[in-house]
Amino acid sequence: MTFSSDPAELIPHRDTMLLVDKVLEVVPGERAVVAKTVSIEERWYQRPGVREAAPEHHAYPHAALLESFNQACAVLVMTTWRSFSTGVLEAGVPMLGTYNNVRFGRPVLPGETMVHHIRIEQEHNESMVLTGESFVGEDRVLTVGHGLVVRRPAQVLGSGRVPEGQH
Amino acid sequence: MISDETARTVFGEVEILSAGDQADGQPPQATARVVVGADEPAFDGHYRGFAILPGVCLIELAHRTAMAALPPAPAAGRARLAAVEAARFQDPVFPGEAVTVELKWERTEDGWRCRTVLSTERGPSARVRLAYEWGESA
Repeated sequence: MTFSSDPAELIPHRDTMLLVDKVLEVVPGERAVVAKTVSIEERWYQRPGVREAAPEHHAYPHAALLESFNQACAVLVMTTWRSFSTGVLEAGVPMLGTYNNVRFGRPVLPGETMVHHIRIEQEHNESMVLTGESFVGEDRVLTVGHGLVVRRPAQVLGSGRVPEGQH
Repeated sequence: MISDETARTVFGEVEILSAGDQADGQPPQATARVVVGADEPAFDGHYRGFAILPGVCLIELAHRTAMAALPPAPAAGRARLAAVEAARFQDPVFPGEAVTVELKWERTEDGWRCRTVLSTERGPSARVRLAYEWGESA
């Protein structure tokens, strides 16, 4: 089975909140490498006053960096669930449950490309624990000790209701 | 350093409601409120047809509250977010909701950590623990 390098074929995120560009490598059930280039055109930099401010104010927001990493995890999780799900079992959608031990390195700046390296640590029927690091060149900009994602039925996105316990 | 010109994912303003210094054994603490409007960029494409605030945005709100109510500096230099020690997401935040942040500081070997609870009127949405370090290169 071959997989697309386009993350949008695997995850539901779109528009402002699609924060991964390209799947470089993926081994279902094991690991993935996913890239994202930070752009000064992203919405965070369009808030009045930000674009003109000194470069130290242009550090890629921690939340966006983490969310990009999350989406790289979602790519691996969706690839894995689609590979191993039967025709009867809907692959479902991964939703973030918890983080542990996330450390930030130096700030990431517009124009830089982040490469997320994600690995599956534990796999259960309805959840997965992942770990990984993100690099800009040789610089490690993010380390994630553990992230837990939980499988939710895909219908949850259209029903207007989210099950208790997760985003 | 965080100021109004610093890039962030949640455009809404964090309003500090109270900030207390260390006194009589009580840790420094703060409470804040922010309204997450339907026009927030973070709802755009997350997801189409079903808007829900990304959990990482709650981490950001905790961080901005912390930076607006820093405890006494343990070393020279500026405060820097070093780690998200833990985050647990319990309940979603939808467009238009107000998020309350309750934050308590405690000393660590390298600086301070804060424990935060972020809530909507329905109850806790997330619990986030952040670690800060102070240094010249922050």
